[in-house]
Amino acid sequence: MTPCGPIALEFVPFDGGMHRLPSGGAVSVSQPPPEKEQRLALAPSIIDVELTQASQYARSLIEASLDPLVTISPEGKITDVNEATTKVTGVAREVLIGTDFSSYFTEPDKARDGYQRVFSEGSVIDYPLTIRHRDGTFTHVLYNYNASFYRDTTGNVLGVFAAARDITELNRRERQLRVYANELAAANSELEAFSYAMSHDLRAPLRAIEGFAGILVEDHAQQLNAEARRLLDVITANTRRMATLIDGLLLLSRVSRTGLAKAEVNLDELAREVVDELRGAEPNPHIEVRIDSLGIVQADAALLRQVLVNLVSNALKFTRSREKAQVEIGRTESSSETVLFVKDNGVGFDTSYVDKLFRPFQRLHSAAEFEGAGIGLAVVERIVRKHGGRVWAQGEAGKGACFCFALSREEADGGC
Amino acid sequence: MVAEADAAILMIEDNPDHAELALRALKVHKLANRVLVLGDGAQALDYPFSNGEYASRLAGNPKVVLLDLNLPKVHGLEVLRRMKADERMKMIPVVVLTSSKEESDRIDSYRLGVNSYIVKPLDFAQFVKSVGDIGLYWLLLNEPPE
Repeated sequence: MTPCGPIALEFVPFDGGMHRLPSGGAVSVSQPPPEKEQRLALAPSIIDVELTQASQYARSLIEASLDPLVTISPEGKITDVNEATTKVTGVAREVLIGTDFSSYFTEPDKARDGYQRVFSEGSVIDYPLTIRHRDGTFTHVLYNYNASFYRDTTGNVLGVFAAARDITELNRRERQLRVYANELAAANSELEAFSYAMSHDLRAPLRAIEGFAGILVEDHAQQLNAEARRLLDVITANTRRMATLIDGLLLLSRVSRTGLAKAEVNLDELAREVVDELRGAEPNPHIEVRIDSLGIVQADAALLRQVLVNLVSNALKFTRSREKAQVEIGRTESSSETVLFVKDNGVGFDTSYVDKLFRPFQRLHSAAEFEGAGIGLAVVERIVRKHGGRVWAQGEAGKGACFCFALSREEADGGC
Repeated sequence: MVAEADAAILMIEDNPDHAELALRALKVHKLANRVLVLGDGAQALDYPFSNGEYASRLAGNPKVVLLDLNLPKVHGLEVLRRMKADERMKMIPVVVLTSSKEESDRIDSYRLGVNSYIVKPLDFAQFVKSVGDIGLYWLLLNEPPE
């Protein structure tokens, strides 16, 4: 007999027409195939063996279940249990059978109400109860009386089949998750308070430094020689640099804090807007910017715009000194990703520093060579990571750079 | 600074250095002598409501209130809320003049009925121009309700 043979198993009460297993299980085979019936007449001993095997098979299925399984009589007495039930109650099988099902729960009335509802409603699903172990420990379970009742051959309800799913661990994890969520919320609001304080408190002294240095120049110009003015300029320049750094930090924290508002983004339009805007402010009008066909992606439009602004302004900044400066914005596809890139033939970078590129405040050029706070690529990285994508860069010193970011296909265009 | 009843501009600013810079900017337009500077949020509420040390001040409201947000005692947004919740006070134009670029501050200010929201420029020349423009606009150009 194969384990998956067409055989109907049915629980029946402890009376005729069934086979009792040595362990006390109550399993029988109903409606055996006709040829077997014939064989029953011819060779009952063989049928007996087959039926015993079927019973043992059913019994092992029940015992294989990690969930406590119980059958309950209409009067609420336990008629059968598996090993998982004896484990969760700490009560031996012989003791369990014949006792009140409801007596093993912290809320017996609720347990009784649960299985009684099966008789009126047919099945009860995910009914929460707490089993009390003999040693006093509790197991939180969800009872499924969904196998509902079993009947005898004439259709009389003989009892309820109930399966419990231990959710103690699930509950514990849920509680743990709630703790983590609260901690995260607290950390986030602390971060918000911090960036708020930064925008106010760190900026305020800068304004005073810059302002009073300005007054000194305006009101006391005659008393200041060239060197004195140069020193004041250094003070002012550094004040502004610090303001740029504060702005960079704030931008970075804002990107991290804001949620994603994904929608269809027309990249062709977005790229054209960004390029027009940046070219308007670009001192070198001869930089050639090519925009390939970019199509549509699913992304947060404002954040994606920030990505393009940062990458394109970098490309312009680092190609500006080239005689024939070229920037290209393009798109390629792989089997799982949409890759967008901004490529230039500018000053490039030393590849040994490639892992520093996307870290905040890491710069590969001096402030005198190229302006910037070192925050742009860090912002790009955070935005792309927020979209579930990745960023990388290829380049060579003196030959140009290519900055790529990939959005997974589902992220990029909804799996089209 | 002048007799309280004459104050055309009520500047609520806890940083005396910033107040000095702002006054300098207003001086350019000869508006500095019509400014009253209050250093915290509690005073900011006492003055227009004629409470506390301003209980005996003459009637008459400023033509504009320049309000910093990050104030000691009572936060600028609370000052704004209480002013705009008062039937008489809500007519006085309030301009938030702050270092905060926080979007939440901007949104909250407008939600509470602020008349204008200006982020103080860091650049001194721009700062002087901004504060001067604010003074000229609200004192000379704008017609407040009587």
